[in-house]
Amino acid sequence: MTPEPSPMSACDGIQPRLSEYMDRQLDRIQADQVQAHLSVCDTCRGVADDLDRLRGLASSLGPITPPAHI
Amino acid sequence: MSSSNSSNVHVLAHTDMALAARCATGEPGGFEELYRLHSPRLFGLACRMVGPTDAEDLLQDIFLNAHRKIRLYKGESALGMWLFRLATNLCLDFLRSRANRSAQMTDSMDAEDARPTEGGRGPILGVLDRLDLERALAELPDGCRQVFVLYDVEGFEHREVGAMLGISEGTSKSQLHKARMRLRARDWQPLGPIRGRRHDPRAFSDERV
Repeated sequence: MTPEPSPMSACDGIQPRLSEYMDRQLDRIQADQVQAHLSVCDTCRGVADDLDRLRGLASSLGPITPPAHI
Repeated sequence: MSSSNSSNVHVLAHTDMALAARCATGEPGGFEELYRLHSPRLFGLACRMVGPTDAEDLLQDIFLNAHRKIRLYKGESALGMWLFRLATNLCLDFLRSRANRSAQMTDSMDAEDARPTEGGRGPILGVLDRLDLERALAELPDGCRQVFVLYDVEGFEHREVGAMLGISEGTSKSQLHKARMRLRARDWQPLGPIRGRRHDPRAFSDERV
């Protein structure tokens, strides 16, 4: 017997949009939806915090001096 | 644009054209200056796009190509941007020849990437530094790594990333999110504590310019 699929949670609809939310690429209505969810969901807020840290760290990666033998 | 900014742009354009002309005519020191000014950013790009092992050869290819094509530079963009686009194209050519491009670029959004994090956990990333991230980039599929490097590291917009990679803005956005989620889901523990980590000669140089 095939188990019934679990119902889609609010997080299913929010997490795929977190990058666009952080990058301010969502329209106002969508951004408000994500913001409202983050205000009540520790899990998604944790994911957003991680993605934000990754984003910040990535932007701090600078040029790399090539080895002298090149 | 203020008059000072405008004059700075003119000075830079003049400097770029002058340097390009020196390189094109083979003036002594011209190409060395081009390399000195631009190789760190291009080497960083190459390391992150194709990995440090192949980046050295690729950097030589980039400057060989630049040497051949410098006469085509007309000053329509900054010389650094012209070189960056040339380098990006060579990185993409390299990646296409290294692996089956269709498999690399259309790698499906794995279910585990798309699945929302469950449970009540907060952030899972612990202490993370630049070297950790440089190493982790090498583990990403080519498609999403390219977008991550160009958007998050180099600071281009999705429109520009899409134009450089030949993908739509929507694909750029989805690949970026996939890259970030994959990096987040990575098991960072085996890298060990940051302090006292043994030096890995194959690792990226931590020297930044």
